[in-house]
Amino acid sequence: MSDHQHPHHHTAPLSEIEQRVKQLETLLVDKGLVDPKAMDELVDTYEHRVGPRNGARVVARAWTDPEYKQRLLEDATSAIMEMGYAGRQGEHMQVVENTDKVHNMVVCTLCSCYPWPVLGLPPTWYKASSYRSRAVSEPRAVLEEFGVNLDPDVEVRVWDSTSEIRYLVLPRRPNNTEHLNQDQLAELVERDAMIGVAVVPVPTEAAA
Amino acid sequence: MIVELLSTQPQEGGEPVFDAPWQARTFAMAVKLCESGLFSWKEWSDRLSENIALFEQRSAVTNSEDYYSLWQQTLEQFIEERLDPQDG
Repeated sequence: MSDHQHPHHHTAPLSEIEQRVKQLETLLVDKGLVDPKAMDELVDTYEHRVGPRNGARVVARAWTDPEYKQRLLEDATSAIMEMGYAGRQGEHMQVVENTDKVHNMVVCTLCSCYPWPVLGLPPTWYKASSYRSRAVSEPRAVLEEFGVNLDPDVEVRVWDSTSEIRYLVLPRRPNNTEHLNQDQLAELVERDAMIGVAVVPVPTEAAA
Repeated sequence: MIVELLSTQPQEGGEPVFDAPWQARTFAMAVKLCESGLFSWKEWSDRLSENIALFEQRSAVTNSEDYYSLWQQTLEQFIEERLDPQDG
């Protein structure tokens, strides 16, 4: 599941796809249908401002605030909005909780539906054919490739995101974190744990 | 989006959000045209899914270039079908 990056043609003329994109943008700008500056801002938002740190703060709060956790599991969209994370592709959210008996993982089998307000845009492997088919056909094997080795008794639940509902995994809080505050806990939570292809590791050192 | 509540946060793991500038442009055009009402996001996802399924009959989506090429193809289809050629 590695992400291959292709070299860009810095000196060569524009590739076919670059030409098509440029032509389309020129057409839309000429017709006044898109504003290049607004496009720049949108790209900047998803490159630099919205990402998995938002989701990590939601998770850390759920770990430390039982009432919040309950609201999050009952109505994720509102509970996430409460934290200030709303907008595109976060309109209908569901949070699924990992326990010692159930491990949840998220996929979008048909395309790439993903909760942008809390995780940003998806990583390449999430959009790749291999993950999208194998997460359903052999989830345990996929989890092992990601380094997650579950006890055979643990049930794996795979959630298929759509344009109508998007899932966020609430990972298990690791042991030895009782003395950490919300911000410190959020630091421990990485993107993959909220997709359900990683677990949150026990911190190597106690509260810094 | 309540922007002031969001801190700067690059993608984890060092992977860039977009591999190349054209991918960011096609992404932004689709989002903006959805917001201006040319198509709904459900229509977008359905069409993108169809295009991915067709592509996967002969190949596999393995990288960001494959994925955003399908995004561009989907965008071109909507433009062709829904944009009034007289307009502008």
